[in-house]
Amino acid sequence: MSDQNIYEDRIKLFKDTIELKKTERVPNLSNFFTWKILDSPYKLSEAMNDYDKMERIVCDFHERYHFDAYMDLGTRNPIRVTDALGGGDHEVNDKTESINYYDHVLMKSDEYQELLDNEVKFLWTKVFARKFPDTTPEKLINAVQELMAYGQFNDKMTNKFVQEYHCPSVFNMNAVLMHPFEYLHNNYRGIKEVSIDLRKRRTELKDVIEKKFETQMLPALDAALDLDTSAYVCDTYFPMLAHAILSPKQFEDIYWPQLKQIIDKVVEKDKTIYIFCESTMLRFKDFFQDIPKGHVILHLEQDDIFEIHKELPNICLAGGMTTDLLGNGTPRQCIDYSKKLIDELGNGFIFSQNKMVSFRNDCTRENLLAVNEFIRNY
Amino acid sequence: MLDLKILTQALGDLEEDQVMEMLKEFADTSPSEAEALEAVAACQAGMAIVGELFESGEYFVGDLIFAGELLTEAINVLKPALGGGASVVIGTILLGTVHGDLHDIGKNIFKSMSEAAGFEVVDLGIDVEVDTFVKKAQEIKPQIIGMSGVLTLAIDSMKDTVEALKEAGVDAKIIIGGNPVTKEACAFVGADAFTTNAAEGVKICQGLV
Amino acid sequence: MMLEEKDSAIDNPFLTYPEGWNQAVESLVFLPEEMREGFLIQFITTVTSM
Repeated sequence: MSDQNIYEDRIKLFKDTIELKKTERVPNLSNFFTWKILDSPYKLSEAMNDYDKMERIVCDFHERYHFDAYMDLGTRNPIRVTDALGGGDHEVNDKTESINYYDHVLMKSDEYQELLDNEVKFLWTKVFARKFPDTTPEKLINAVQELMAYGQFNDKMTNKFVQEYHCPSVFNMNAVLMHPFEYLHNNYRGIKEVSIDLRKRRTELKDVIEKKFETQMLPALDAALDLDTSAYVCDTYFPMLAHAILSPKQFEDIYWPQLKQIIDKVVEKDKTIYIFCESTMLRFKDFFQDIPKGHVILHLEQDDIFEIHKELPNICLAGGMTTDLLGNGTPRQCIDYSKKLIDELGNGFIFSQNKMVSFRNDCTRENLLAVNEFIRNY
Repeated sequence: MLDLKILTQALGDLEEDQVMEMLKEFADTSPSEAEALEAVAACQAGMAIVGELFESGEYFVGDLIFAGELLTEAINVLKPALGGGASVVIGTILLGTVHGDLHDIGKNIFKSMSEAAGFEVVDLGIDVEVDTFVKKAQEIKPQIIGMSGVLTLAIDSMKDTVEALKEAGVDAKIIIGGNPVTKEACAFVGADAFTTNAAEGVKICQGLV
Repeated sequence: MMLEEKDSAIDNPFLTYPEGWNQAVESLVFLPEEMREGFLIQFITTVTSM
């Protein structure tokens, strides 16, 4: 088979899977993140600060395991950018082989109105100022240049994987959509504070969500849906984390109205959306039951994927393989479970890992080699 | 006169304004220590309602966080009237997020819910070294040791900690909790119990003492 | 550190609005003038989310 055919076959394999069509084999999507570094001769800190080393690590990883596509090509944690601004909220620890992010609150509970009144002013003088208080014009320029270098590295890796390894990119970076509540939860207010706001400042919180959605997200969605994304696994990408604290009632009130509009537009334009779900989704199953098939992929972390499949036969599921097994099981156990996943989930299943694989004991090389060989041939 | 049933229900419903108004009015009447202890018990019963609503799916994690804050606020209002006395302690839990992990939200939810259920909780914080767990356990001799973690690497830290505790002869039941915790992880770690939700964790602890 | 403490420690004329902001926008000389502000908004949104 020619190189071009391998590439086109991979894209077709993913697209057919998303449309729940019968395929010759199951696509194998890597959800490996910093584990790739731990599987290499380099230390975390070395790889995170050196794009050449990271490139070698990611390429070696592909040449060893041969996934069909990658959620991460060494571009997940651009710490050089934040370091240029003084950094400080993360710790790359070579001893524990982990990157820890400190919880931080960058916005006070009584500042929702300020955010509504003038978001740029608020971000610059409050959120950005609290995170990077020592910013100087020189540091800003350095950080901007680092961000551009990071963008170039990202483009280089994407192109290299298409050209040399014939692996399609999963999504276009310009087609990443984030719910406004995610900004409040993940970045500005933090989990604890936003949980309190949900009860004590619901109206202001909703006002911010609605304004950000109308003024920023809808235009971003329209632009994303106009992109030519035919060479990507999916047309848009939507990471979900903040739903992890919400009850179904709260989800319906502050999260779903916007997500529904996005999904409706995706369906209307006959496009696809890859929803990467941290935590659990089962309690929200009712919201997804009426979505026409062929448009939504849910990548699951903590749910029982077999149960979700029964509840949502209209949705393409990704994930399944657990770090519990990859890290602690035997190759035989891993293969048996892989077979069960493929046999029971049938069409509309993208084989991947449940977690963003990051720590040494999340996986062994022996297990991953065995699983990927099995997936290629089953 | 403080209506304890209404107070319990208001806390269970997470009606902050109502709870705080009732307690402030109550505190203004210079209650006796015994009366203040009754109010504490009513708040604790409200937390039990919160736990039930969590289990039924009505509440989720954000509500538990809010409930923990509300309970702390409520107890603070009652503190002056409580004097040196305290409600009955049903057991002591030594708690911490294990070495290598900095997450504390789940741990803190578990802490406030178990305190509400009558446990005394000694919280070692986050990124707790194995030695710190061992030394504190030897010092305070808790009935239960709770270890929390969000990252998958926490499982290995939990295992190291459990092994060190056993080696040091610490006689306590061990419960592990958090995102990466499973039945298999519990067996691997050598813990006595596991949970991924704080409300269930408190129930398990009640069964362990 | 509490936000109040953080705020009182920030005494940075560059992180003011509109003066410092305008200076930041103007400093992006390698970009066409009409693109600078939009780029900077995108930049601070990105780095505060990292």
